[in-house]
Amino acid sequence: MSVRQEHIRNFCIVAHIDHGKSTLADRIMDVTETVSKRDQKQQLLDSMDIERERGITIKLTPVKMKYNYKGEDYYLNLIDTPGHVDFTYEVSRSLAACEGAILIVDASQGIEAQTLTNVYLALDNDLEILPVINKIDLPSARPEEAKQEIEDVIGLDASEVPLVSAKEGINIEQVIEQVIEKLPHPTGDEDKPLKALIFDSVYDSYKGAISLIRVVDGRVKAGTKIKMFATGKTYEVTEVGIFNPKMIEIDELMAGDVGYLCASIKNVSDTKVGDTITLATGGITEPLPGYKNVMPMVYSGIYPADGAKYGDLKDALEKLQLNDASLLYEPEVSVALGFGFRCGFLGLLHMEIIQERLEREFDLDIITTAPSVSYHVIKTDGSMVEVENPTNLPPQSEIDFMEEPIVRAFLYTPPEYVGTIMELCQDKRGVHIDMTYLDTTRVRIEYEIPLNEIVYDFFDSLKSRTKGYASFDYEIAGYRQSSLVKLDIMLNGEICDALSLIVHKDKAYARGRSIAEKLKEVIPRQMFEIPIQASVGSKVIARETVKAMRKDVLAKCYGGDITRKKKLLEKQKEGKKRMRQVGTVQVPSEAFMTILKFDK
Amino acid sequence: MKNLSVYIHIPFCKSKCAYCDFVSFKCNQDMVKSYIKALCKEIESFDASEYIVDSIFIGGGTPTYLDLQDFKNIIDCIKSNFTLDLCEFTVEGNPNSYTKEKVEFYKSQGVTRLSVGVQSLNDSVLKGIGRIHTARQAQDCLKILVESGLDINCDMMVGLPYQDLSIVKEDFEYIVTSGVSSVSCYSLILEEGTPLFDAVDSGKVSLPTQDQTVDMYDTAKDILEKAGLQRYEISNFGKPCLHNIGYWSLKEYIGFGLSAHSFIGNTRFYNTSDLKKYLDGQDKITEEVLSAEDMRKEYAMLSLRMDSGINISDYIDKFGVDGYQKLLNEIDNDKRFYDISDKAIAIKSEFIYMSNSLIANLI
Repeated sequence: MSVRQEHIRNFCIVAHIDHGKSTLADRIMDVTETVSKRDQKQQLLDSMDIERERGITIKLTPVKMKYNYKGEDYYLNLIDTPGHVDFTYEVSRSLAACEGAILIVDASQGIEAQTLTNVYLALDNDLEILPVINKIDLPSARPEEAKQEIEDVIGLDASEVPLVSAKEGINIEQVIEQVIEKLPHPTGDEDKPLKALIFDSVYDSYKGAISLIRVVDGRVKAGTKIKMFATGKTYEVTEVGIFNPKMIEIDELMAGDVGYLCASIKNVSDTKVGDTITLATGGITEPLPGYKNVMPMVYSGIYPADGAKYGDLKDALEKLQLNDASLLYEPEVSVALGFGFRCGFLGLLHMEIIQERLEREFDLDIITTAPSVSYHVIKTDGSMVEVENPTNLPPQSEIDFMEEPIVRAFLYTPPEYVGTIMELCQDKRGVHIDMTYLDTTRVRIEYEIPLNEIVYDFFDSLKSRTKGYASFDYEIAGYRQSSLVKLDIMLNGEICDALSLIVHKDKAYARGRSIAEKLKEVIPRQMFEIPIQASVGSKVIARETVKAMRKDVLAKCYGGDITRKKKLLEKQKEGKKRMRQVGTVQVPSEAFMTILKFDK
Repeated sequence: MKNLSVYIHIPFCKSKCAYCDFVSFKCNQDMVKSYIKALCKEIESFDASEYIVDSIFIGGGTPTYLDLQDFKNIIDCIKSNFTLDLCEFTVEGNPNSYTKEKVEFYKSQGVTRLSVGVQSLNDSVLKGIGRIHTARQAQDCLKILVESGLDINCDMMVGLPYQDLSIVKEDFEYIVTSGVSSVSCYSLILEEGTPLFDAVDSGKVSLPTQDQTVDMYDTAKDILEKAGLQRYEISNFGKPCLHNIGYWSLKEYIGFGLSAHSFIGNTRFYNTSDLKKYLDGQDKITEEVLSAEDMRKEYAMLSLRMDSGINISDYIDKFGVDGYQKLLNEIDNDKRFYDISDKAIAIKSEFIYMSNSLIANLI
């Protein structure tokens, strides 16, 4: 082991949303006189408005900082982690690149859902955890109670916890010094063959896919021939470097270092997060543990509102995928919506991010179908098919049984909402697992809930029923057999494929009725009466009617102003164009989204 | 020589109605004088050598607001600049601006048709849309007009605030016995920027629903047709207005005055709606030049407003068999809403009040 490595600390900061992760990172960089991370944010990720607006930390590139402590220079590599449940796997790989983690606890809010999720993830990766209590400047701060929670709930010694205000820059040095004092340094072997972990990747239009790596053993430099374990592909390294926070090319990355590597890799999907890099010849034979090929959990159809924009949508998805290997898409055709894509996402937030980026960055008008999950359909001949699009469900006669994904949900709430949360979870077919009083003000409730209930309106319902006080996190717990049925919606007697859903049979009636009611409101009156029917198999379970339109005329044309009249008709025609033709019925785009809307 | 319709716009009113978004306003006599001057200048500058004028329509605004001399100046100007062979000469006005004296004067000037904006014969309804006349004044006015022996058209509205079926029924039963030769029945179109729009928008005034409005229209239609005033266009009943039929059959027309529209050759023009610019003599602005295909589409769009629909042999004369084939393809999906014979294609009577939805598919 080298003295060099004794002067390196690789760490990350974990926190619940809004507990001050980015601000603390900024202050640490101020104190170590590194370029502000905010500039970096602007520079690298200007377009990711959505995450910023939602207060969800953007995935930042790691940054290498220098700090002189007791007369010696230390190199601190801060690796950022995305702050949302959808990206748990990516978080876990970032953590795996570190030896320690700073855990931020908000002095007034205490421990929240993601605080604990992150603690468990950090512990799973054998990280040393350094708790800090932030926002002590707030009048509502109760640092002693937060300390108590850290000891009681997490079981960490809180006697030396730094009490900081990242916003006011209070006690930041103490945090840095504890990082040096308390977090372990890397202990790799520089002379062993290369073993490096890819914890992230970014796409650069000049350099191609860039791997962000943590070198565990060995060394790598330009010219090194490397191999990726997951894909088996080999490359010649063209450049290595570090982030300060701009990319700075250096000669060599060695055991313990964090940096980047370019090797003319065309596609981010060839540099998979969690994969291990070794030498193309004479490399190691066993990769680092923990690699997973990430599978999407939530699916939805994305269609251009204007069918002619199919090519634009395809280009946009291609571009997004360059930077986001977890976005999957494949072409799909809907009778109602025409040509589009079935897209797979890590979770609901990921789905929303992609949808919003398509609309904002690519200026596309899109129609999204109700989110679905991947069902296991076991057919009578014993074979299993995965169904992500309700339309592709095999005929009932060929189905032996079906399985649906279940999540383990962790909910954190003030005690007064326990009743309402349990009611909500029961309503969502949840199975109660556990309930713990963390202290007098907060309760942790654990449920197993089918994912298809979560993707419907769980977040919104939870927020509205607890006035935003409850927080929520989940992990996939596996598949379970379930009585599922396909709910079809018929407009004027014809099934509209884009509105079909797979639901639990006990939910079919209520969902069918609510969808029919909502459609009645959004489908405009047309020249004939339109029956809206919800059906399961051949059985109609709900019916509404859109009455026939009776009046659609223009005012008198004063003084022969025909052009104005024509323009109004053209506007009407444009409006029609934006509608989708389902059989004889014109259906406005928003109708396809209405069924996503949350029931009061 | 070609036939031409002439439209003259008089943008003055004693008071602006709450639903009106046309170019009209209150103004003083000096401004009226300058306007007439500019108007006559515009008329004189038009090269009318290839045309015979067969219809004149003086609309507004309130043309009857003008005093007799001003009115005569306009007529004289038209007479000196155009060759006239009039089949129809219409003047529009409001119930309380028609007088016996004015009516006789119009008659002496060759006017054949007088149109009056009655809108409703219920005082609360009239008040609700900001009309300045009462039901009684309208009835008295109708008597004067009918006595003149000219063709009288009465503008009525449905779908108004405070209006209901029984009010509509009373209104139209009165109208059909009044001796008018034609009735226009419009449903209120709420236009942004009007006081009524704001009142409805803020919830201060409520309008009848779509269904109620159509019931009112249907009631009016029944009463009118039973009295022998057959519908010939979505909103028009009784003796057809040749001037308007000109608009609906792509006939050439020239509009003089503020914001007036023209269609000459294959080009649509309009005048500025900025009074100052108009008085300064701003030229007509070209709106669009219609291609043969545009003409074909507009012809269908306009003819289908009429109960008689598209006359197939006229259509083939104008646009050829190919054009006709195109039209048949365009209506193919909507066939069930049309009456198609070997002579004409018309929107079925029960769907004519939804004609926009059908016509939008043709343009």
